[in-house]
Amino acid sequence: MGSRITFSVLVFGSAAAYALARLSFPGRGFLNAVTIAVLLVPAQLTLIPTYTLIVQLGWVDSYAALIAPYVFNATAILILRQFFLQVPRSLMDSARLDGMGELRILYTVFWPLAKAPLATVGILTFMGAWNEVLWPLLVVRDEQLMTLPQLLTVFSLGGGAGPRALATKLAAAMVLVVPVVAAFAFLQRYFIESMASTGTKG
Amino acid sequence: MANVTFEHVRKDFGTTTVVQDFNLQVSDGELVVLVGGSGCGKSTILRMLAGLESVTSGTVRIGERDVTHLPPRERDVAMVFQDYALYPHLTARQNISLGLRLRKVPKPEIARRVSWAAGILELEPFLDRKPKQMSGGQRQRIAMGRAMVREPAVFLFDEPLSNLDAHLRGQMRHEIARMQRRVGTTTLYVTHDQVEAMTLGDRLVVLEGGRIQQVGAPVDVYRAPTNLFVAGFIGTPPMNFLEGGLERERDGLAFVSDSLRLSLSAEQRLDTTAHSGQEVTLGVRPEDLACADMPGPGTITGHLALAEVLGATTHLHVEVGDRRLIAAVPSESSGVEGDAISLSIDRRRLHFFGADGSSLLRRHDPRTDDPGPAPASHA
Repeated sequence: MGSRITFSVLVFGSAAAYALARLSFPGRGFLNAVTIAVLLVPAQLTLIPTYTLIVQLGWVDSYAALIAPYVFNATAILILRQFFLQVPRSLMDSARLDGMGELRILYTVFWPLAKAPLATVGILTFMGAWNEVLWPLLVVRDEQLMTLPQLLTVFSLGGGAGPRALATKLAAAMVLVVPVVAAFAFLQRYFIESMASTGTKG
Repeated sequence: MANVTFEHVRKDFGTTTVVQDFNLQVSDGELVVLVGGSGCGKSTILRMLAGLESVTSGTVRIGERDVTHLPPRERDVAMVFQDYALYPHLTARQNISLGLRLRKVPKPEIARRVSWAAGILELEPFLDRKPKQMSGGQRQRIAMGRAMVREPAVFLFDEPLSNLDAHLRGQMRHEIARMQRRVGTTTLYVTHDQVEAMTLGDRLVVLEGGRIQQVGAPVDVYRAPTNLFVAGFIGTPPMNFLEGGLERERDGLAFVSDSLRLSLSAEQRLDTTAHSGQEVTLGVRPEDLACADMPGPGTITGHLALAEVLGATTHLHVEVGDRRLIAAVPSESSGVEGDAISLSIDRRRLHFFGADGSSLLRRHDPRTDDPGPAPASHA
C-alpha cells in the first residue's frame, strides 16, 4: 500500500506540479492558491466526510479505500513545483524543438533532474502512508487487508500484559520500522542533497 | 534549407507591444544577424520563428510553408541557446542524437550524422562525457552539434556566445561562421555584441523598441546609418554627436555649433537649399577624429579628460564644454591628461541627422561613393 501511494503521489504530483509551474492556462494562479489552501485544512476535519464518501462508493474493506484518499498530496505538489520553477526555460524550449510533448518532457527531462526532490517526496510519502493507523482502522475490518501498524495496534489493544507480550510488541515495532529505515538509507543521498540545496539556491 | 519571411509580425505581452510591424525576408543560405539593446524584441522574434512564442498578428513563413501556428517540432528549425540547454543527465553523444532518436531516424544514419558533426566541431574526444565534465566552449560546440545533426531548414542562434570569455568567444565566432558556410543553412543570429554583429552576418538588422531601424550589409550600416539610433548603437566606441545648425556659406553650407564652425563646401551629399538654416546633429566616428597640431578652422578644442591606451590605438576622451567626445587615434599621438587638445575632423565621413533623428545625407552606396581614408604611401 505504501509503495502504491508513493508511486501515485510521484506520478500525479509531478504532473500537477509541472502544469502549475511551467504551463500557461487560465486559472493557474487560482489552482496554486487552492493547493496551498488544502494544506491549511487539518486531516481530522476531512476524516468523516472522506469516510462517508468511501462508504457510499462501497469501498470499505478494500485496497481502494486505503489508497485513493492519498493519491494526491498538496505538499508533494508544492515541493516539486518549487523545483520545477528553477529548471531553465531553455531546457524546455530545447526539448520542444527536439520534438518532445509535455509528458515526455516531464518524465524524461524533468524527472532525471529532480532526483533529489522526488526522493524527498517519496520518503515523506512512504513514511506517512506506512505509519498511518487511524484511517486504516476506520475503513478496514478484514485482517488480510490490515496494515502492519494497524495490526500492531489491534494486537496491543487485544494482547495481555506481561513481559512476553511486551517483547512481542517490541519485535513487531522493529519489523515495522525496518522498511522506512531501509528506504531512508537507500535514498538519503538525494534527501540530504535536497535539504542542503534549499539553503543554497538563491 | 529555405527562405524565411516575416510579414507584418506583431507580438504583444499583455498590454505591452514588444514587436510591431516586423517585415523581413531572409534568403536561402543567408546569415542574418539581429542586433539591438536589451528588450528590443530580437530574441522574441527568434522565438516566434521557432514556435516557442505565439504570434499576435502577422505571418511567419519558412520556405513556402506558413508556420505561424505550427508547434515547434513541426517547423524544422534548430536553435542554439545562450545557456546551451544541454540535458545534464545525458552524455554529449546522447544530447546530440536525442532529436534524431525522437524522430525515429534509423540508428546507422544517427551514427553517421553524429560522427559528421563531431568531425566538423572536433568533438570526438568528448562524446561520452556529460555536460558538467566539459568546459563552456565544449558545451557550446555540443549545442551546435545537436542543431547541425538535425539538418534543419533554419538555424537559430540566441546570443550563443554571451557566457564565454573573450578569447573563447573569438574562437567560437570563427567556428560558427565556418560551420554556417560549410553547411549553408539559412541562419538567424541574435546578439548584442558589436563584434559578432559586424563580423558574422551577411546582413545586419538593427532593432529598437520592437521596430526595424535599418537592414543592410554590416559595413553599409556602419558607414551610412539611417538614423541617430543606428549611428549611436553600431560602433565601439560610439559615434560622437554635436548639436548645431547648418548655415549657408559662399560656396555651400557650414555646420555651426558653440564649439565648432565647419565648412562643408566639399559635402556633396547634403541638399544645400533644403537644409540651409536647419537644426541638425553632426555625427563623427571616433576614428574620424585626429589630433591636430594647433587650433584652427574646422578643429575642435577641449581638454583631454582620459586617455585609454588599448595597445595600437588610444581612446582620447576630450571634454568640449559640457560634452565629451571620444577620438580613436594611434597610440603614439596620444596626449597628457588635463592638457588642452585640438581635434581635426575627417570631413569626408561626416553624418548629419535632422530633428526627427533621420539621416539628412542622400542615400548612396558607401562602397563606391565613400572615398575612405587615404591609403598610406609606400615611399
